[in-house]
Amino acid sequence: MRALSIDGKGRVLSNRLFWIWAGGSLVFYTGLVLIVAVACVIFTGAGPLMQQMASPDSRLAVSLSVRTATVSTVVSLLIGLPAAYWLAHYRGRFKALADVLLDVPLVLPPIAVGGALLVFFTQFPSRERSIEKILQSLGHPVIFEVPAIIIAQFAVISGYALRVLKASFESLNPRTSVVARTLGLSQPQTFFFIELPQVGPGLIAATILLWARAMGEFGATVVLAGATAGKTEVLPISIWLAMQAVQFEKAIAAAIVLVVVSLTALFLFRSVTKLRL
Amino acid sequence: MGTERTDQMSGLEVHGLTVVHDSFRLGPLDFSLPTGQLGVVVGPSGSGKSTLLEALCGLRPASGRIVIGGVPVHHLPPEGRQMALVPQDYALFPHLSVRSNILLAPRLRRMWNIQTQIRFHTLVSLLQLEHLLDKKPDQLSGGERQRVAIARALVLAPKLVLLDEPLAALDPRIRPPVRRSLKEIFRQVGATVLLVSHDPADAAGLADLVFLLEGGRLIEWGPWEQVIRNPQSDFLIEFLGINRVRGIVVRDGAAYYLQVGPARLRLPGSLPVGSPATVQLSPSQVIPLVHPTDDAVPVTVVERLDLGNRYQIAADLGDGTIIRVEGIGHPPASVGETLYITVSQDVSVSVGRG
Repeated sequence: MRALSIDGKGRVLSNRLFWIWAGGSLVFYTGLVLIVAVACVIFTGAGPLMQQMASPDSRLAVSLSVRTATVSTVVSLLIGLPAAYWLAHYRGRFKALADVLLDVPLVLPPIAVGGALLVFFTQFPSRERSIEKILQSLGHPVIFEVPAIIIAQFAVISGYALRVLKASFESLNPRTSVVARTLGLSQPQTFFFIELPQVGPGLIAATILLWARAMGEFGATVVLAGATAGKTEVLPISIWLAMQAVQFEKAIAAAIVLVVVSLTALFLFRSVTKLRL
Repeated sequence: MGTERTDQMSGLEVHGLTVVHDSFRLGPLDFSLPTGQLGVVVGPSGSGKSTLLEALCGLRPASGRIVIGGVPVHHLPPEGRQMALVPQDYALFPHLSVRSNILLAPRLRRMWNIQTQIRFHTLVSLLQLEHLLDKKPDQLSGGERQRVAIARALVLAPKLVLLDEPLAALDPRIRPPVRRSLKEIFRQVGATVLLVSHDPADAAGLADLVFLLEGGRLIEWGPWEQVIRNPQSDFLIEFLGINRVRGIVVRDGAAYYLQVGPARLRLPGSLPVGSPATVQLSPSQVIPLVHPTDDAVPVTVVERLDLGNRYQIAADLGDGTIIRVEGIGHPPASVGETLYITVSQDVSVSVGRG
């Protein structure tokens, strides 16, 4: 009996220690984020922060960021959904190859993705007859223009889109699709009425992840779209420009604007989709 | 009229159906199931039951002919075969209500006509789904989910309904009543049904025709009574609790015996002395005695199940061969005690290495 009670106490203690460890880690991490945020606000000061938020430059950057991130997210989802569906169902011998190819954008630093895209647009198939030259002659240049921001964001986030959506499709019970087919539903009907509604939560998670990632995208954007104030100035570029000019207050103010706008948008999106589901 | 007669004769006909998948081979299978009858494919796990269902509904490449209601369907995709599948986990569409689960296919296929509406209402009342129609699948019990899956399968009046282990996911206690109601539902709807199960009780309780599948081959098929008359499959023998005792035929005066280790079981008739033989006896053909007699063999009780007014005993013949005994009343001996048995003289003996 005695041995048992000691063992019982030991177990209670070890359980408690486990939760202290788990909770402590969370407190440590959130504390870190909070302290850094507070330090930034104190450093900048509430006045300049408000001033920065209200400035026309900042509003332009916010608007450009939100618009480009939304477009690139929608495009990634439109292309990512069917592609991920195919990947989740494909059982052929090129599966491993396709998986590896799709990991390339994930492991490549965004700045390298931007470099690769720049080479593709300006040097392919040749410098004289490059894609950019053709687009220019048609009156729609891409490089150092707004479309370049969207292309850069798309290139960086579409790898994530495929990964997240593929995992969503793979988590479905394949027998629901089998039953749908035996009930006489065609492949498109099975996709739109049985499978797509079931990946709803995965789709929302993917949208949040992609949009947030697109809002913060810098590396590929700065190479492909350049850092022209007031033209291709999305919020991460604002931060970069301010830092280049050694205006740290302005840089941090822009970062805080980015965080506030992103969190508000994601919160609204979550609330709306929760109502729908 | 002509086609109707064909329908009457063959709900499902399978000719030379073969599926090869890695090292596993199913078939070639040849069998038929008349319209309106309930067939149960029974076999141990790994016998190819699920593969057979997948091949029938066109989810797995197979060779051979599949004819449903007189129409060949083996070349058609799953949606063209007029079969409905009820998987083991029922696979209800989790995002749809019970009503939408049942009505999605009729609506998408533009078959929401008066006949389908009548059928829907008939099924809802027959399967007692009225109060569940607006619920989502995750709010249902296992039995309720099964009834929804069956309604969904039957609403478009398929020519063949395929059920994969329909009772396996249910609490063992509710299986017998569910089994009875399943049979009644399919009888009332007049559906041709092929059901696979690893539990021979489903075959005994449900089937018009039993298909015994082992190792990808159809061992036997026919009515249950016929399949169990002289069972050759270990799987069925074990389910029926039949004792299978192997030994050598010996003779003592005019009497023949099966020598099993130290024990000698008296056998009926005359047999070739010295040849190996196998005796199949049901537990009721083994007669337990408390006291020794001339022909009685002493055995040691290794397991004892007191079931109130009847009992089951497993006993060792002395060389590790276990023999099962059943009887009325209280068990005549406890574990470790000696019991004497004789064998009823109407047992079947097969000579040779069985």
